[in-house]
Amino acid sequence: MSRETVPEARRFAEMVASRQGWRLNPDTEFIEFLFEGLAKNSRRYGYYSCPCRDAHGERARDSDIICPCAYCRPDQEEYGHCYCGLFLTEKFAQGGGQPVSIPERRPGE
Amino acid sequence: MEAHQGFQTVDGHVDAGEIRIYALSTCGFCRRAIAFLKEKGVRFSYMHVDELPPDEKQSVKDMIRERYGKPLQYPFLVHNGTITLTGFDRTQWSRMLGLS
Repeated sequence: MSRETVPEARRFAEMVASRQGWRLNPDTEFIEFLFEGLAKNSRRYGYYSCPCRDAHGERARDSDIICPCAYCRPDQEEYGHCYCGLFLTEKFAQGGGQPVSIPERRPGE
Repeated sequence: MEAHQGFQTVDGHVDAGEIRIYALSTCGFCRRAIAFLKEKGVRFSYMHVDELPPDEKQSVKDMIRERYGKPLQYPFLVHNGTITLTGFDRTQWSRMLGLS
């Protein structure tokens, strides 16, 4: 199965959100751009590295920022959404909040 | 002036000083930041760091860390070569750049 196209990236994100009980950002224009970013990263790196972080291009070094990243849950717990503003908690989504830039949690970056 | 080339300049009728944006071509908040500056008619320059060759990319990251004492996260705004903002917050950017 190709994971390099925007529809595939969209399906991937929808599947992750569904399995984790998360909601996708309702701003469709914003997340379509993130889907394009995920697809682009899959084409150039071979995996869905976070579109909001610069990847090294080596899976082992980027393992913590492969979507959904290792920082997604703690960011959701603190801010209600992931670093990229892609995955929202149910509570945050129901509150109608808009995801914003949040501090980077990744050590050393 | 920054040591690195690779910036694209966006012309505008508002001169808010020298504005340089380090962005990723895939980042939603970077896109929002660039759209905000365009909407305000501000003249600025930006680069997509992820599209640089690896050695140039590392050089930019090293320069940012050395010059500003912080890691490069996106979007990263440098105003008049000295003041920086990390991440996009419309209110914060408006205040720093003197935009209404």
